[in-house]
Amino acid sequence: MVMKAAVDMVRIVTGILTTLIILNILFFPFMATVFAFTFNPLIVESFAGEVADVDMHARHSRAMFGAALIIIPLAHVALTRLRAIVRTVTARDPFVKENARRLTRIAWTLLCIVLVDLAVGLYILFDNPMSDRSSSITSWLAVLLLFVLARVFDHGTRMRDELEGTV
Amino acid sequence: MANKIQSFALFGAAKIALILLMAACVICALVIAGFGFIPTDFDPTTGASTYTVIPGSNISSELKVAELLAVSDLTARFMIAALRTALFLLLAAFFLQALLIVRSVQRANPFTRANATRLARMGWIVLAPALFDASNYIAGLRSPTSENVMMLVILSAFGLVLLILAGVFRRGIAMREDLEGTV
Repeated sequence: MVMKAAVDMVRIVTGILTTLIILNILFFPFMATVFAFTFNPLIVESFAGEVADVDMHARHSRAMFGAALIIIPLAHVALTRLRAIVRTVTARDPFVKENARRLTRIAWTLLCIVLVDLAVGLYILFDNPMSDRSSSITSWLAVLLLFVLARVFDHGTRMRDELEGTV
Repeated sequence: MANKIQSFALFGAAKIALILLMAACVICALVIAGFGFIPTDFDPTTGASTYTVIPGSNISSELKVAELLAVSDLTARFMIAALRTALFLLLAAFFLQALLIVRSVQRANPFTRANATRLARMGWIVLAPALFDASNYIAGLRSPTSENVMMLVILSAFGLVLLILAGVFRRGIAMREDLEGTV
């Protein structure tokens, strides 16, 4: 009975992740279109509103939407790995080396996303020193902690393998 | 073997970093509570307060919330101070959970129910402020900037990963116990 409820849970989580993956994929052409729009001065002007420097506004939007085009594939990698981890639960023992590796890969993609975010922030800051962009250390801490957790997982699986080897 | 030594070095460094972060969060919470709840800069004749927790920090959006809720400046100030103190205490709790997980690895098998609970707690601690922010944006109390949204996405993703990992831990442990029971 407990087993069945757990399997249902896994199915729900897998479903949510699959939905997120599909939405993420659908988001790409949308973002690409918006990115292309930033090259059209007429459209930029109509969206800029009361912004004084329309040209700068266009540059900044271009940087942000361009970053989104890099971040979406990275998010795809992270989401599919996460789904793979969840799927191992239904199949067999989830405490396997592959899951540790997947977790490390998720940590790397999150690191890349944070780096892209930082790069865009720095670009906008250098372009316009008056802008109030600030980078937060919270996301950096999250990434670092994910690496540590991946290591915990890896260490745990290795420890167990050793234990089973000696039995 | 080399990998093992490397792991232990990493866990040692992580432990020190986590203890430092935890201490920093507790100190921040104390400082914020101190400045927030002892109104040294409060002018009783005008009811005005020039409250800034950290010099240069922007609390205008939180003040707008207070305005919408139609509370006095002093009440608003206490609310903001309470929220911020709570946030830093939550962060300290988060690092404490992480520290306990790392410590458990150094001692024995990390795949335990206690660690699953800790992971879930960490997940909720990350998700709670993110959900609070998101609800503020949806209710129109504050308007998000692109960096706010980015931050929200990263934190929600991180919280999701932690909660899923907690679930994986729980299932793995239950499976293992079933297996050991049948053998």
